[in-house]
Amino acid sequence: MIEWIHPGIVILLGAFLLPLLRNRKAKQAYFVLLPIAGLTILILTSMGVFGIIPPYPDALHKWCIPFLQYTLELGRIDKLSIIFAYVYVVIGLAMNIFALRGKKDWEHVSALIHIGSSVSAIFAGDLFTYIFFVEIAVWSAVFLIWFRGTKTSLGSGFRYFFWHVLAGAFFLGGSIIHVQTTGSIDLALMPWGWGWDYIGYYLMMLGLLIDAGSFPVHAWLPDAYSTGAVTGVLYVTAYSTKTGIYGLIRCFPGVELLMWLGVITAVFALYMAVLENDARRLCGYHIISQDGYMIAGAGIGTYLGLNGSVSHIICHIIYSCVLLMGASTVLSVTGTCKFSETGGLYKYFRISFWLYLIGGFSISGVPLFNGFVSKSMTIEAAELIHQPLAYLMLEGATVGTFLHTAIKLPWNLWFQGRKEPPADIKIKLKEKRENTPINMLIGMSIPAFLCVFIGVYPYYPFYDMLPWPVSPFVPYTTTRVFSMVQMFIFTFLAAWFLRTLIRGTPTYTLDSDWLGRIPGNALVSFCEKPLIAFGSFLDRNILKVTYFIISCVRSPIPEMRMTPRAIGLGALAVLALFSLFLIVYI
Amino acid sequence: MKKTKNVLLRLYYIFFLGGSVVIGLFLLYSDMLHYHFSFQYIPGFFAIYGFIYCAILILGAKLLGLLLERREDYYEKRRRR
Repeated sequence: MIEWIHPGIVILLGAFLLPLLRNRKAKQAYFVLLPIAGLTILILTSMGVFGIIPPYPDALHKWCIPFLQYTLELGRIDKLSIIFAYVYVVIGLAMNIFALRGKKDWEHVSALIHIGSSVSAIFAGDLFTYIFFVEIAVWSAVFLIWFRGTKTSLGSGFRYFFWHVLAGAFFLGGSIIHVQTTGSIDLALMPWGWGWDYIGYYLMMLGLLIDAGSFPVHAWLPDAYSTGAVTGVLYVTAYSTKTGIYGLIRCFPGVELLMWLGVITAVFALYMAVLENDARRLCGYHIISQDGYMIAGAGIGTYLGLNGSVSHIICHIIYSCVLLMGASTVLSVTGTCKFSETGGLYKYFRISFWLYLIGGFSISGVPLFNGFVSKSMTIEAAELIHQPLAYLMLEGATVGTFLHTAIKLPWNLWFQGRKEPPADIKIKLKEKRENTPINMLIGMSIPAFLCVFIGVYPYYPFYDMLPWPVSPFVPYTTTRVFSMVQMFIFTFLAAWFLRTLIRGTPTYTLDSDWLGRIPGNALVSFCEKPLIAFGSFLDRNILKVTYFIISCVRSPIPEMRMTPRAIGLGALAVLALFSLFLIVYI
Repeated sequence: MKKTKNVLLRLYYIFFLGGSVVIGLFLLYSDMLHYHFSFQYIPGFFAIYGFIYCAILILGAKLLGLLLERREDYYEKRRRR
C-alpha cells in the first residue's frame, strides 16, 4: 500500500513556493493547481488507495508521530473528517479561482496557508495538533484581513487576533487540565456535567464557542468579515467558524446547553441583521445565525441532530461562499457595498446577481436548494426530541434569513427601484451586461452549481458521505414542502407591507464587542492615567514621610542631640522616677 | 397599468403566484400531512407564523435600533477624542 500524503500539509507547505515563481501566469496556475492536488489526494483516499475508510466511530490512523510520552496524530481519516476536508478543498479551489486576479503574492500565500492549516486541523486526531493548526489558521486569517490595507482593517485584524488567541488559550488551558486528569490527548468525546470537576471542559467549550461565533461571543465575526481584504476575507468566512463547530461536534455532542445557545444565536443574529447597512456585515450576521443551527444540532446530539449539524456546515460553506462572493464582486468593482451608497446596479451585474440569488435561496432553505436538505434535518431533530420552543425558534429563523438574504440584500444592493446607480459609482462601471471579471464568475458558478445539485439530488454523494446513517429521514416530504412554502409566501407579504423599514440607513449598529471597545477601553485608560497618577502620588508622599524619619535618625534636631548634659538630665529623671516608685510601693 | 421592469419584483411575483398554487393544491390533500406537535395542525399555522415572525422581526429590530444604532464613524470619533 502507498503511504498516505497529508493534503493539508501539501497545501500549507506548497504555499511558500508561490512567491518564488517568476512568471505571473505560472503563479496563477500554481495557485489553482495546489487545491486540485489536495482534492486528488482526497479522492484517492476515499477510493481506498490508502486503506478502506471504516464506518464512523472507527478511523484510519496515519502520520502518527511520537512526541514526549504521547503520540501526535496528524491524519485521522474517518467519515467525519473526510467530508469536511472535501468541502474545504473544493471551496478553496472555487475561492482561488475567484481571487485569481489579485496582485498581492503574500495574500495568496496567506490564503493557501489558511486552507492548508484548516484542512490539517480537521484531520488532527489529538488536541495538541488541533490547537497547533487552528493557531496557524488564526495567524494567516489576520493577514488576510490586514491585506485590505485600510486603518479599520488594521484594527479589526487585531481584534480578530485577540479573540482567537483568547479562544486558543481557553481551549489549551482546558485541554491541559483534561490531559493531566485523564492522561489522554485524543480529540474525542469529552465528559460533561456541572461542578468544579468539569472546569477544564467549560474552558474548552468556551474556547470552541468563541471560534464558532456563538452568542454572546460572536462580535468579532461581522467586524472582521466586513473589513477584511476583498477576496481574502472569503477564506476566513468559509473556515474559521466551521473548524470551531467541528471541535464541538467531536468533543461535546449532546450537551443541552449547546442546543439553547445555538437556538438563541440563530434568532438573535437576525435582529442585528435587520439594522445592517453593509452587505458584508449583513452576511456576517447570517453566518452567525446559521452557525446557531449547527451548534443547536450538535447540542441535540441525536444521530439526526449531528448529521444535521455536519450537513448544514457542508451546505453552509458552499452557499455562504456564493453570498459573500456576490457582495465582493460589487465591492471589488465599485469600491463599496453599503446599501446607502448602492442600488440600481442590476444593469451592470446581471450574471453575478442571479448567481448570488441562488446562494440567497439556498441559505433561506427554499425547496430545491441545498439549505433545505440540511437545515430541515436539524429542525426535524428538534421536533423528534419534543422541544417545541427550540423547534419554533429554528423554524422561524428560516423566515428571517429569507427576509434578509433573498429580499433585503438583493433589493438594496442591485435595485432600490432605480435603473441607474448613483453617479459616483456609475463612472467606475463600463456599459456592458456584466462588469465582473470572468474568473470571479467561474469562481461563483462552482459553489452555485453545488447549491442546486445538492438541493435537487441530495442522496448521492452528499447523504452517503455523512458520518451517521440518514435513512429514516427524507427531505422532500409533502408536509415539509407545504409548510415551508406557506412560510415563505407570507414572509414576503409581511416584508412587502413593511418594505420602507428594511431600507439601508447609513448607521453603525453596536454589538457585544462594545463592552470591550468602550467601557473596556475606558477601564484601560482609567488604569493608565488616573490610577497611575494616584499611585505615584501615594508613592511620593510615603517616600516623603520615610525620608523625614530617616533624616531624624541620622541627624536629629538640636534639642534632641545626645549632649552630656542631656544624658545627665535623663539619668536624673529616671533615678527620680525609680525612687518615687520605691517609696510608694514599699 | 404600467408593467413593472424590476426583475426582482417580477421574480417574487412569480414566486408568490407559484407558491399560492402549491398551497392551493396541497390544501386539497391536507389529510396527507403528518406533524409532530398539535399546534402545527392549526389550519394556516405556518402562514400566520411566518407573517407574524417577520413583522415582529422587523419592528423589534427597529426598536432595538433605537438603542444600538450610531453614526458610522462612531468608533473612529471615540478614538480621536
